[in-house]
Amino acid sequence: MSETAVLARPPAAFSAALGQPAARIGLGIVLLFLFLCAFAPLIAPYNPYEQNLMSALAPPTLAHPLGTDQYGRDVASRVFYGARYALLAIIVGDGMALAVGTAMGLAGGYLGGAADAVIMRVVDVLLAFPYLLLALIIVAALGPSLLHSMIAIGVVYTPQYARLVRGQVLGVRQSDFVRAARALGASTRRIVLRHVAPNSLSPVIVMATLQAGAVVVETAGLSFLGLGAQPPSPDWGALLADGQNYFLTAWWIATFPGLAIFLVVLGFNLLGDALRHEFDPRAR
Amino acid sequence: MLDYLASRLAQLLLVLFGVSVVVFIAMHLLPGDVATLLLGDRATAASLARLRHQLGLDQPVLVQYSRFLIGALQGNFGTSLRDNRPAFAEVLAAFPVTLELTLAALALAVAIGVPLGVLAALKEGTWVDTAITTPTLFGVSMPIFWLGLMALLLFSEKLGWLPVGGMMPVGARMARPTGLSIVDAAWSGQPALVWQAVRHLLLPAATLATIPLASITRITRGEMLSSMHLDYVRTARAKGLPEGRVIRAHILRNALIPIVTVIGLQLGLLLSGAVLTETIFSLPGLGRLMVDAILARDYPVVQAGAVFVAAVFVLVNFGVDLCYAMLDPRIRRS
Amino acid sequence: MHPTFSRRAVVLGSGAVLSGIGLAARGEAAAPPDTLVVGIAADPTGFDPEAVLNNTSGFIMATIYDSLMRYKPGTTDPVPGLAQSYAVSPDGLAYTFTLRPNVSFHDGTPLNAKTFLAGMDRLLNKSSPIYIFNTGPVEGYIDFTYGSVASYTAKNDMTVVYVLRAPNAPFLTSLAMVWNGVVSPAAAAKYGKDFRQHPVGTGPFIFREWRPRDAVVLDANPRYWQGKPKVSHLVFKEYPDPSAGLLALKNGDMQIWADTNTELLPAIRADHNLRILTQPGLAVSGVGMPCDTPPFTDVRVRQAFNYAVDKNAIDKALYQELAVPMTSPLPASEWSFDSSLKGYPYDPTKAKLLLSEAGVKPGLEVELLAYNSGRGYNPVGPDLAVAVQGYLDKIGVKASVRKIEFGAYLSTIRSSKYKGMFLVGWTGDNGDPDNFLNALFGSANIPVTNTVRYRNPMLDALFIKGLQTNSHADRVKIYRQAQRIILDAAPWIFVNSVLQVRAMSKIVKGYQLNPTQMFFDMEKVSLA
Repeated sequence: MSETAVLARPPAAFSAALGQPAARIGLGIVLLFLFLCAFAPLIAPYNPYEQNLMSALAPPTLAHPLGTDQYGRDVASRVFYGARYALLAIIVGDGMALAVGTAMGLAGGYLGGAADAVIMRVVDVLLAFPYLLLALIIVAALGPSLLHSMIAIGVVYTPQYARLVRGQVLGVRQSDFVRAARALGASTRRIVLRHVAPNSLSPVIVMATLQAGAVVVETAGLSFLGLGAQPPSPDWGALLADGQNYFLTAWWIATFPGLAIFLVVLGFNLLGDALRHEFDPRAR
Repeated sequence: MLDYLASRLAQLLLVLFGVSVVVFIAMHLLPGDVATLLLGDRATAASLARLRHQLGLDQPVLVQYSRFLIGALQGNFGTSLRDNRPAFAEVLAAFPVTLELTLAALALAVAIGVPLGVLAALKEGTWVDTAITTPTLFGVSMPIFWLGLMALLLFSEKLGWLPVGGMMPVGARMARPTGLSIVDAAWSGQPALVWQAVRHLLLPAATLATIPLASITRITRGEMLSSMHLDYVRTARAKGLPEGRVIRAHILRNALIPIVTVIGLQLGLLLSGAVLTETIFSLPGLGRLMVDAILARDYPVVQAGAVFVAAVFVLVNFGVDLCYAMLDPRIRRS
Repeated sequence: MHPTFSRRAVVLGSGAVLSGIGLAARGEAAAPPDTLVVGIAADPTGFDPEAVLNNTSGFIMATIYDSLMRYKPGTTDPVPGLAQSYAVSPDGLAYTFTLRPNVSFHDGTPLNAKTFLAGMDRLLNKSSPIYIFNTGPVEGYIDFTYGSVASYTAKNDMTVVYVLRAPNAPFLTSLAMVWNGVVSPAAAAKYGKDFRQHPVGTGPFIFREWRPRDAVVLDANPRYWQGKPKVSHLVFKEYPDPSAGLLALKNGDMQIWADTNTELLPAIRADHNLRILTQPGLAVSGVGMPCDTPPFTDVRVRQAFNYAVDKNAIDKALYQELAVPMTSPLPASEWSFDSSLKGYPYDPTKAKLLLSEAGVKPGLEVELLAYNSGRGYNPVGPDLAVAVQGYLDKIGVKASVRKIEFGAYLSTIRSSKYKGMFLVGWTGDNGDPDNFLNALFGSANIPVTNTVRYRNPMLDALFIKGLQTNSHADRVKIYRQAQRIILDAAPWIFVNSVLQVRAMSKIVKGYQLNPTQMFFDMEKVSLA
């Protein structure tokens, strides 16, 4: 596998991946999601923060297509604006896990020895830690806020990236071109950055798309437990929490944000599956 | 062999130590303490001070941690600051509930997910494939309380088939030697009680199963796809073996390793993450105990619980590694 | 061959199993007809009445123990309980109680002056072998109730006398609280540190079993001095999720829902097999303002905030109209409540005027701290903060709500350095106005219960007088005056006083609410 061969693959594979109908649906959903994030103020029928106690708990009607919540706020507008928080969760939570986990995996896998042992023990502790407890403690200690809950989720997912990348690195380390580079006297840093990393990354990208959905759900879960977004922000988890106790009397408050989360998770998963199908040589 | 065991044991202890330190630091970073919470709105400065003294919270932090460590090494995790009962006993009492729920959920997820994953792989790329994988995503993306409440609405309220919560009906009297309701009911020798235990477990287990279902289906499907085209499989087919036999003996066998890995990971996840399910279905499990203990700043219980779950998780993964050795002769030899 | 056969078999088999479950199980789940099931949402933490302050524990302890005095059913008026009669000396310093004859504890120990005073030694005498502080952490109301007691003695076999250092007008009402339940000294000695898990009292129900986070099971006490209970067993079962609790109530799995969630009331009202009991409560709730921090140092600002909030609209939208706007710092069910006070009606124009008079410009930013789940005096929890935020916005004040969990919330607002506003609330313990006003607005209680840091020496003097006066009429006058002062000073945005609400199945007869929320007089309850 030469360098040029590695670089030449992605564009062709990408468009091939999108040929599948499932992938197209996934891409469509993700694009719709991004569109919503960008243009929520233009599409949303009402101000998501405006309270109108007199029309509280109204079922879906033409005036309020997804109903109103207990303060009379329009559910549709809140769901639309909530997309931005989900995007933020993906960027911060998933992004942080990817960045930190990859760095850990690269370091441990390539350097080996004591560094590897230490890093892997840290990963073990993080993995063994009851996940909810870890997230709860991080948020409770830093103070509840959306940013802190995203960081907490990022920490929880970091070990998975670390393990994945380390595994990849261990495989690549022994390959011909790396040994050649070392024989030619290239520095460790150069080897890692120009040879090891690019060849380990495709499964990381796949994992990132698949985890994106999971991160949205988990951050919503923390908001649901009261440790994430502060009122009145329309983060989807907060919307779920708002609607939980009204579930038997005003089902729409919790159901629509739940559906939104489901669709986003579905979209990223379909997309990720398609990418994996293309990038994973074993799945041919 | 002995070396291997010794190093795994050392790893276990290191992880437990790490967990306990992290928990200790984190709990003390949390604002507010158990005395404040116990006395709530009606505290007075004097009663707060007195309660803190009684609970040993006015000692310096290092003293508190070393007392905890010494006790933990002897198996004594202290007394719950809320209930005045031994912390470890509380964890041990709650654990069987969560264990039973988790095992039942995993069993359901495997029983449903593996066949579905095989089917999806066999029909890869068709609408059947998508029709199978999409609903399994439902479980991990819909909030579990929504699923649980829908299940309750349908099976408890509308149909009246299954109970609303708890582990056994109110009037049931039986000894509980293990804490696992099905096992205890069987022990009591009354089939009616076993039936009740199963009925109470069914909905929560099914609801919780939706979480690992997605991973198990996906992994099975993925691994099936990977192995289906391998050389030795083609050879087996070329030899004229029936398709079913090929699937079972060769493809699935290979797929089992990652499936077992996922089960191991999910076990840890579910043991501590089942709190929402336990809340909806009113089960007195470890998830609820831990969350309540954190919110109440009941340090001994949080410590006992975290260390216990971490230990279980590491042991389960150890078991998973042993399974690898059994399933893959290549690993065994190394 | 094989595949087709097994597929069909699976379909048929699962159909059979499902209908089997349905047929066999239809109509189960309801408890046996002589068992009353009460649904609770939180865990009790133990059952030693003077050691444990937890509300849910209180519910259960009210069925296990009696106190020297008791509340007339449905009220907070003290009448004789385990004491058959009592007398108070003219100077208010000596209380003589004659104990009821032929009453014994659940373990057979007789109730007499000796066993009763052993219980008092348990609370107040360090050298008692069963001294309560040796059994573990004690949270109770010992100081609150007996702080002024100088001595307690037996006059004869069945009569005890308390001598006080100074008059304490609320003494009798305090004695009737569930937290002053009388425990069996023999059991306290037998169980030692574990007594709080093995309670023994004189009450209508005998403790059988506690499965933590699951249920507490009690049996009827056939020899109860007020009459044998009408049900044979009483179970307090936990349903931590409100929606699951509602389903259990509708199903008949539980018959009384102790922690009825008001958000579910429309669903409860729609079910004709359920009934809702309401009673004015002893609760007050609102938003506290830090009285020592500008701009809240100016009383006009505090009053403006009061005019800015539409309490009636909030009660309708968030509380299903099961709350009453506060027109005074005391709830209407309090005996010194001044019904002539008008409170602060909704008047945003006046609010804006007052703000500009005080020199506050539009755009003022302030934080509003909220606990993150419902509480007894405020079942909708942080939702109240969000609603107030909406109203403040309309008068040009930008409030940002910060929702944190209860432990963090308490430690923040008690730090006496916190500069923001915060949700506040209070539930009375014994129906005495001092228990409300002094705790919340007396300067001696800054910053633990007087979290708004309100100081008024004139008010403090009134409180001292109120505690020491024995004439009921005089006390009414004193507390009326205190109310007026506090209302005008507006240290809180006085929002509402929630009604006590409990939903129950129509088959329950004889159950009555008590302003303290406790489950007193349960021997009278039957399942028709």
